[in-house]
Amino acid sequence: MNSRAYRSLEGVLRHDRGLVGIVVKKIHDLWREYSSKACETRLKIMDFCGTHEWTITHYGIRSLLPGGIELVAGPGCPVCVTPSHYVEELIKLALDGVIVYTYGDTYKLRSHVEVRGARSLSDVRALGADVRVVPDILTAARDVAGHGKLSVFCGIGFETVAPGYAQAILRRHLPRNLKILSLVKLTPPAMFYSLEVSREKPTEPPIMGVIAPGHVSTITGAKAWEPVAENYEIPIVVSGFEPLDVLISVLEILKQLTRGEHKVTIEYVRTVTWSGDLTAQRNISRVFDVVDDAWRGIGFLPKSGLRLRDKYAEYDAFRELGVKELSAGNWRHDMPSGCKCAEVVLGKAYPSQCPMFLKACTPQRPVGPCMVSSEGTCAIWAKYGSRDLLLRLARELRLVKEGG
Amino acid sequence: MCLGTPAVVLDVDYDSMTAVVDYGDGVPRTVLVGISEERVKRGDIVIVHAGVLVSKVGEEEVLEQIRFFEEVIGGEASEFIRAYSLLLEKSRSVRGANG
Repeated sequence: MNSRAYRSLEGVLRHDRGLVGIVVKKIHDLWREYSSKACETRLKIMDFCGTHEWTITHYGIRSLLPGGIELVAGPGCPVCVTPSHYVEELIKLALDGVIVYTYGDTYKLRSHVEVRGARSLSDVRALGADVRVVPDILTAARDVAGHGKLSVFCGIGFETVAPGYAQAILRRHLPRNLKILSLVKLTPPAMFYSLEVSREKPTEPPIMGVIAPGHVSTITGAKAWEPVAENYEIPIVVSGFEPLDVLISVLEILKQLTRGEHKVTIEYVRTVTWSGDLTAQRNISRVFDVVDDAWRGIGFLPKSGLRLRDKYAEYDAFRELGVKELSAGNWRHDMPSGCKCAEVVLGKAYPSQCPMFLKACTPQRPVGPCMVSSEGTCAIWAKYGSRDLLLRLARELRLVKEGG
Repeated sequence: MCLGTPAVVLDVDYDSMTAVVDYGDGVPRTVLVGISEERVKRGDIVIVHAGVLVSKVGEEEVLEQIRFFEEVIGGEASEFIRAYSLLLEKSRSVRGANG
């Protein structure tokens, strides 16, 4: 296949109004059938991944769906769930003369407490420390090879980026003076937790379907979600990121619910397989240990993080630079006062329900972690969420019917 | 963090497991190959995430995608599916003629 044919497919999935019209009509028809059969007036579907939330909000997909179907964002933004503690540790390293390499969005992430006059890597750079924004670890490695000074790479991410970190170590791309602070998180435990939490409040409908992350699944395989589908008896659809991909995933979830099925389906069949990439999975296992890990605003989730194995200790910022680990004992709630990001990442609240949203907390001056990254739910709603915001406001003012 | 960008593979170095890719802007960039080496070769369309090549989009997979749409959407999507299948065929014949 050539790139022109691929771009043409992307174009269809993004702009084909006719096809979107067909799918939207089918969703509405099926919703009427399901809601009358199941006597449900509301259905909550979680879009786990920040990139899906971007597609949904950017293209106004919520406004195309029946009023009873709610798409709620999940914890699929690694910047949003990186504990403040590690931002504080990186600030200390930068102030102590270590060169810090970071992705652009982590650069703006605020710590819960001030560390020697700084609340973020951006602040610490303004104070004169050497903090460098890079698009990937390979760029950092090449830069470090040029100056030879002690450096650390802030290695956030999910399963998608882990095989890259593993390959960088296994193929010896990293100079000895570049250490990785591995803060990689594993997504299935967070999906389990989000679904558990959604079942705690009897007045709210539980999440009854999940649009699962597409690119994470290219590595893990769609099989990673099977225990979740079985445990909660809900459909899970691994979805692509174009608007039509998301709409078709919603349609598939509705189809399964109407038939009483609960299985994992791959919508993103052009890149995702059931088993994932076995070499990538093997490399991750060779380089990393699976550990219980802290998620910002949530706390410790069992077997949800990756740390470098003893064999690769020479690259490990925890061991080599004395970065302190969090433990379940010393973890503390690390959200700013009044901020609802902890609820937003679990789909328990919409950004517009936070008192600081677009008032004290804006994309230009983010306070909560969800307002920082381009994949953070609050940042996405702030930039593109006008239609959804207006609809919610109209409902609150009773200008349109609830569910209408 | 699922942001992925499609790119064309210009070259692969199997020793260092890196690939040079073009995101469509004509600027060659080096990325790490995160997946099995036998899956990636010059000319492939791939998905790159944070400098890591995480997946390949092959012709078979795209045809499978079209079949999936047909199954979920039904006959009403046939016009789109026929148009896209024709495009793929054309792409195949152009490649055949060139290669």
